Amino acid sequence: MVLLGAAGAVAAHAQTGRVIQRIELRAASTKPGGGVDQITITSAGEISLLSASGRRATGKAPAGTATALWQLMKNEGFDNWDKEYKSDTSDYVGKVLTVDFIGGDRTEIVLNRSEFPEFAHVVGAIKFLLALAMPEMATNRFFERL
Amino acid sequence: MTLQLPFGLTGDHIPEVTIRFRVASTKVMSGYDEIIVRGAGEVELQAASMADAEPAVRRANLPPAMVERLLGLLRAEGVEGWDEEYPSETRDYVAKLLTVERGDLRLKQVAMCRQEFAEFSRVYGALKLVASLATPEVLTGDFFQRI
Repeated sequence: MVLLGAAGAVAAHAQTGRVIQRIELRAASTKPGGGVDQITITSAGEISLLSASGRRATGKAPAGTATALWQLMKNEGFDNWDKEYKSDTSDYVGKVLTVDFIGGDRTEIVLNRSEFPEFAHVVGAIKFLLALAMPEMATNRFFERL
Repeated sequence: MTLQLPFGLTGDHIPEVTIRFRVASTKVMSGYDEIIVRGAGEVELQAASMADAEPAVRRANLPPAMVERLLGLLRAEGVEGWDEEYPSETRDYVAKLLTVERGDLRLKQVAMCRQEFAEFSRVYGALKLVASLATPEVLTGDFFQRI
């Protein structure tokens, strides 16, 4: 199989103990009324995008890629990250990375400062997953803050 | 849609493109981990315990379209404008080397010897995801020590 597929998904489940339902990344200005860039990826690879300017788009990533993304997040230490990284200088963009699990569990990371490397690795992987589903997303022109 | 690629590359060039990403300690004789993405449709992983040791190698197929998307992301993150070297600022013991080649021609090489900036990190994350889609053990911790 070209991508992870069912075997990879089962392996991911066995290793993580939790099964993802949805991964969401939002970026917003900390100033009022700035709008929100938002990426939502379901475990089935369905992607929905909303830009701060109100544009919307949908797409579908190849089978298994959302599970691979979650594996990467685990590999980057997601489970051990703080829940909130407060602003330490003049940071005007806040990012929220949310993972919803089947059964109702949710982990949310709020980042109000520059991305630390592991967080940025995850953002890069998310952006690549978008580019797999929608080639035009590789151009960085859809969003204002992502 | 035609995706804009870096370094003047076009879709026809993809099979000739190689993207290498190596992570190594700056200590003498230290080993390394490396992801090699070939536009012809292959991912190769190398892990060496010492600089002069024979690396363990894994290979897997990869759809060439993924390489094109990866190159598009590199361009979007600004790889063409990056410096060739980011020297160590403090006690940084890990060096990362990103290389893009077309055939025998080196198009770009970036040596990162300090904390990554966000754009570099995003490319790193994308490369890891690409490699893991072909070879899931990239993320299991069983193969790489540094990536």
